[in-house]
Amino acid sequence: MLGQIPVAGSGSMADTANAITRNEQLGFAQLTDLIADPNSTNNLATFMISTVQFGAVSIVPAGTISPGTAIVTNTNIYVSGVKTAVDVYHLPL
Amino acid sequence: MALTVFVIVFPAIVCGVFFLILWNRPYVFYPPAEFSGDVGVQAYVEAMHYRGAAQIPQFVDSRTVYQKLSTAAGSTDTTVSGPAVVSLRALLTVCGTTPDAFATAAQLLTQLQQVMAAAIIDDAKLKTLNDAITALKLN
Repeated sequence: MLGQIPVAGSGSMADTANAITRNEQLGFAQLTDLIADPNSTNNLATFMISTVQFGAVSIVPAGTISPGTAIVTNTNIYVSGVKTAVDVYHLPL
Repeated sequence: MALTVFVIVFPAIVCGVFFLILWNRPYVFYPPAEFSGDVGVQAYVEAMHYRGAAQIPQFVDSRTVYQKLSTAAGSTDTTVSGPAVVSLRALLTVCGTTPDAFATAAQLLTQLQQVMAAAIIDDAKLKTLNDAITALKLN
């Protein structure tokens, strides 16, 4: 799905990464932004259409060194229901 | 005796069915009015649908197979494009889509995109897709 979609804020970083990866890989989309929903404890992921295949999405605590390409850095999202600063990466294919 | 068993077992069954629905389809417990705002119902359903991180390789594999078939089907070498089109047809058929007999490679790829898009919010369709990829040895 494209546009801005909600991603559950109750999951772990891996769960959120899983949901985003599913949208990217199966929906021919590319994540461009990930923020906390100001009106709920969910997160909002923004996608644009893309024919390029990226690696899986990885979400790590902000400042953690990770392989791959950074998509968003130091963004606040809900992780297990708690607002947390994270970095979001595309892992290498 | 039979009444006692019924009184004990029946509520347990009702409770079990309730939690089964709650676990697998939590969105059916919400009336349409609660799916309001700028975001559509389907997006909310997606947000509620819990999935384990172990599925990530399946998504990547499915997409990788698509990319491989897309590249091969677009080849000018018919010894490469021919088998790719045959594989596309087989994959679509196993996934429950009947490709048109005269469909072009581009049309078959569009159909595969639709099958993949349907698997975003449907674990059963994702499993069918991945099982088909494995059965046809496309990965």
